[in-house]
Amino acid sequence: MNVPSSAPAATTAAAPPTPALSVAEREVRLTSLLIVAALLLGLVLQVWVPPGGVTLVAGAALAGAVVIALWFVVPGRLRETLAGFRFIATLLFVLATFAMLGTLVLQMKPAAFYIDRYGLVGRFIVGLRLDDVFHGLPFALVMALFGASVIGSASLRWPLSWRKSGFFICHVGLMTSLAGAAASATLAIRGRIDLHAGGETAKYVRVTRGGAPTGEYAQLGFDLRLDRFKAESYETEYRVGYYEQVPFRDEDGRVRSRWNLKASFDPDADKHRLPNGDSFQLRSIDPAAHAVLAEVHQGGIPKVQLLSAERASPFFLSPSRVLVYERRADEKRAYISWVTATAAASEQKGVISVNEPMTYGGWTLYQVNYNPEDPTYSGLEAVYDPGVSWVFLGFFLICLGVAWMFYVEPRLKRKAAAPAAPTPAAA
Amino acid sequence: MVGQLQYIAVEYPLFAATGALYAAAMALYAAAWKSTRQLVARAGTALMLAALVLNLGLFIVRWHEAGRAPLKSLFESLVFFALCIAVVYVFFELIYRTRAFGVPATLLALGCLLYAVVRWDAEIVKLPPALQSPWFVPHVMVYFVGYAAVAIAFALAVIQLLAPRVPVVGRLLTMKAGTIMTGEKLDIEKMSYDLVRFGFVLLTIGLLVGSVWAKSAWGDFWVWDPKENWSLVTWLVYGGYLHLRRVRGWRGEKGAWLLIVGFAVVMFTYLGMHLLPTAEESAHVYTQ
Ligand code: HEM
Repeated sequence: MNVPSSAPAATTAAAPPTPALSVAEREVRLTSLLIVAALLLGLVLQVWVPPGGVTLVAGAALAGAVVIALWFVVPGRLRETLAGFRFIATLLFVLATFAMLGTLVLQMKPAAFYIDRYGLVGRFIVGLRLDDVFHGLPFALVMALFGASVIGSASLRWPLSWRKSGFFICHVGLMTSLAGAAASATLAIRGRIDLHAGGETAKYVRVTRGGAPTGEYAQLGFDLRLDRFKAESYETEYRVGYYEQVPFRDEDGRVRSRWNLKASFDPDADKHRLPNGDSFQLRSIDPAAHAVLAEVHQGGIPKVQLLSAERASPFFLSPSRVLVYERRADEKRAYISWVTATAAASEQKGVISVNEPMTYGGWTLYQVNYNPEDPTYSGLEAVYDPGVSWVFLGFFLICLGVAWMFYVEPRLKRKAAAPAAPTPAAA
Repeated sequence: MVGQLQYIAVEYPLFAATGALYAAAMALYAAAWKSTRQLVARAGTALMLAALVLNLGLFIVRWHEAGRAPLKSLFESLVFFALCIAVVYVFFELIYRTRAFGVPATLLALGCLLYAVVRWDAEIVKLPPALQSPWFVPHVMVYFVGYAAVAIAFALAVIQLLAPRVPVVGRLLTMKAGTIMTGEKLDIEKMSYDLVRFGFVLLTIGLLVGSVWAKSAWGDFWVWDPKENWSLVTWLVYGGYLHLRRVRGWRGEKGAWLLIVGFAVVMFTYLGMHLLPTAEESAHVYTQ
């Protein structure tokens, strides 16, 4: 196995005037050089090539091919560096930095949004295209190094053997996932379909990017009709609630206060303790009138009060603490659309709900929106994505490969090795 | 605060008892650092097992009360995190045959429960449609077992860094009396590496299950949601650690520092999402 960085520094009999760089130092330099060059080149080139799915995929593929070509022609440490643990670990940290950046700056908003919100910093964000880091050339070129490293390191370890199979499975998985993600980024179409129940039909999808409409339309290839829509609620519940008034800062920075639910209790006959140290017990419960008679213990003589869920009747434990009997807010359990898809000769009925999409004619349809004011409206998301199964297959292989590497390979190695002393791990 | 603690003790007795047992187990594990009597250390393990059983009971009772897996709110996830830490630790104790690290493990589990007290949100809430998926339970469970493994690896990394500097801690790794079942010197570096490997497999599976779920719920396997991104960051940092470990010079303290960074990233992913400017768009933030 090739372990580039473990080689000791070159030593010569007579000390040279300036000590030669050690292998490790040269590797560190080359690693930094390659990564910094990829980032800078990407930053410069994206002045002319703006971020986008095609930019990402074409940029990464092209640059990856160049790196692999260099791999074969450039002598010296390039190969060992690219296939080495130091390089890949550094790349993984660089990718982690990209992923963090994507959460510090909201992605894919219009340029005006950043400038309005962040002023000068906003201009900087837009200038460096930090508003779309995952589709820009700096990211694409880093991915190119990544791909070249995955392929290169595998080629150095060819041929395949049982004892190295975890590594190969993992790397085939990585490349399969990346290829699938590339197909998704370039070929997938997603968009919205808004329908009203009672027979309204859609033939097109309003295309979106990053959730915002692009103004384009894509043909579904079939007619989609919404027959019925239903927003199902959980059963109505009545509970005893204990609220405390807490301060908060509103949008203008003013300190205000609001009531926060701190604890709640089933209406039962047990004695309950409250977070402020008081306690209460329900003397009687009237399910029909949605009211309870509460006996509150605060030291001294207990106080009794009728608490009704139908009208405001709080028991003030203190000016900033109350006990109430209340109906729980309407909580939605499910949104369900019954649809019919009709193509030239065939017709298919289907039910779409959150987490249970329907696939027809290459499109997958998801329940994503509803309107409490308009019970007939249903918002669907339509996605055409030829890459996704490859992404999952790749991911599955990565899981398998990693588990194999950790738990099967050591056993195979142990079996193969003589029963004598264990071999020390490569440094 | 006293009122709040009384309220928890009366209304959530199982929770309070679980915390008390973890604290008691910790005290005995600590006593076993000094004592040469096997009984003390064994009692530590026995109490740890008892705490684990109560913690499991807490989880099951809550599941029954809520009518769904109790993995939704911060409170529920902290209770489950404590359980995972206890389970992973007990296996760890069995495999490596040492009780030297019972204190940090119980401290982690107890820390989860104490944090649950500070950020108390034990109200049972209904599951919104997006979470009603067969992927929900495996996704969260796999992640928390993985988090538990890297949490213990983090504790070992801290001990590894303190050992040469603080004599009391250093003694932990060489001590032959009381806590150590085999009497051999402990290879703490290898132990944390094993834990990270185990954790990494689970983080990988968690990432996969999460993306399959995202596909079925949102129509896209990756939506660059802050939590998704940060779980990718976690995965990449531990991936970086596993590779760097094979680079000369990264086995010792540098590797331990990396595990501390890794766990800080895990904690931020778990609890820090609301601090991000992109949080408002996330489907993953714990709110109160
Ligand atoms: C992209 C270029 C990559 C290269 C060049 C690379 C290279 C390697 C090599 C050579 C090994 C050792 C195999 C052996 O022992 O025979 C290895 C192990 C491993 N690789 Fe990669 N890998 C890459 C990417 C990844 C990625 C992205 C991951 C996932 C984060 C990953 C996960 C692993 C794991 C978990 C191990 C086992 C480490 C250990 O046993 O300590 N690899 N990698």
